[in-house]
Amino acid sequence: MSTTTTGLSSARRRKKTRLYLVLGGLGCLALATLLMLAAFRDNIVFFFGPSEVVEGKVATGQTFRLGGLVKDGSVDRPGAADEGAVWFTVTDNAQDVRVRFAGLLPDLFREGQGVVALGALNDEGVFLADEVLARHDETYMPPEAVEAMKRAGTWKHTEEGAAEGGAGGAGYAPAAQ
Amino acid sequence: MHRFANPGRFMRVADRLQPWLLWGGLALLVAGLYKALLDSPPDYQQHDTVRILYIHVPSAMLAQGAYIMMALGSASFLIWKHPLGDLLARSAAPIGAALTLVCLITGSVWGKPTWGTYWVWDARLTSMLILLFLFIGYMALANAFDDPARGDKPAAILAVVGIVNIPIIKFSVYFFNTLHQQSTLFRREGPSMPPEMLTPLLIMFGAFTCLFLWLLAVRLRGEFAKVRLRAIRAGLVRRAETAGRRRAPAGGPVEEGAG
Amino acid sequence: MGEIATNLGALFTADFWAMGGHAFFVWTAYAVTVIVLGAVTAASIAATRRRERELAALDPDRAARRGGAATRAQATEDA
Repeated sequence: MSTTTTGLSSARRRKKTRLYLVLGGLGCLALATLLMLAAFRDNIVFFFGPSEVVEGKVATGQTFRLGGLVKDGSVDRPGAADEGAVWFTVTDNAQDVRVRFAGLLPDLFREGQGVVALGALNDEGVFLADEVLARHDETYMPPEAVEAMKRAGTWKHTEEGAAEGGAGGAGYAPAAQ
Repeated sequence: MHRFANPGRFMRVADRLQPWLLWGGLALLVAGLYKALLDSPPDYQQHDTVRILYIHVPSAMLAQGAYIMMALGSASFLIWKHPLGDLLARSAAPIGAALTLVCLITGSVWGKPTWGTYWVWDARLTSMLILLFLFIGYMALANAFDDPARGDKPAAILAVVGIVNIPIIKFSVYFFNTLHQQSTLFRREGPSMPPEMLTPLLIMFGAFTCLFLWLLAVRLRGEFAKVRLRAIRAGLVRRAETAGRRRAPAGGPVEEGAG
Repeated sequence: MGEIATNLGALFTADFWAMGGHAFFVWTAYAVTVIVLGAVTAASIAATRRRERELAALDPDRAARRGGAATRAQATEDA
């Protein structure tokens, strides 16, 4: 009888030890992951904003990603005169960078929209893009509702609002600012 | 809590729920597909491609749900040696892998028309790809050995360790600059989506959930049958061996061996 | 009801299937979902059925006593 009770309690103790081992291991793992991610966040810049580019953080000819908003009224299509390329300005509401892109733009590309472009600066400080990706926010809305809100004057597109307000869209702000 | 770890009781409950989950899930699926494809408006920016959302989001959420289930089952197997936990994890893994694959592919063909690319190595997309590899790694480990008792523990440890990826997926869009947008549903101000889009999404989520649980029950039944088959076969082999020894003239302590 | 009929009527229009010019992306997404989830469902059902059949063949007494449908419940109880 006594042997079974000791057997039971030792089994229970082993279970408890395993529980603490698993929980402790997970805790260490979570801490390590958190530290690693924090390091990534500080050191890896996914894209540079126009301010950093103007400050000269990127060398001419070096390939990088440029992120920001397409400035209102900046899109220019010279057409056949320039191989059908599109010119536009990427802004973070503080600094602007002029971009040239000859290729297929995503459907969502428009003025006030967030974009991330891959390319390099030329000698004149123009960003020659090889690829332009559009970014969209988390808001979904039927077109009729947008029209109605625009008529009522209550429409506030997040990105347009950010561009006008000068706050900088949260998602487009460069990692190190 | 440990009461539910009784496999027999668990399976009786699962068996009773199964038809409800199947037919309820199918009914919700029909209603959800009708709403998603025919009775919901296009988006003002993305137009009709927004209809991909109604399968992309439920599969993403359930893929993560399947992973959490797999990790919890594995943890209970490691800590309390509940065989049910191991079987639950083994059953959830292939479904989770399939849902992750669906999430990645639907997201990819949605990304092309909206972002302009099928794939970028941003934190959200990459962490979701890691989720797929975790599922595949688990399945490989769990089935690597002829004797499942050798693979079950390493596989369970992998499942538990991999749980760190779940919060990374969730918070990647807030923590890093990603191309992927932030969450539409889980915001402090409430979902950033009108009811005529939210309704089909919730119905589809309900349909995916019911059918996921139904399939999980089907797989669990299969896993239980596998365990039972193995036990019976092992018993048959043992009996044959004892019989062989009994027939042999120079038999040792035969009677003791026939357990 | 009338609204549902009108909506279902859209199924017979080229406009609906064109998905505003994004037919390829939308229908690829739905087709892949059906294929992948259909495949894992079919494989799961087949594997479960095969094992239960094997089990019934190995243990005919129990299968006969409990009836076909109950075999699996019994199998799981003993597991």
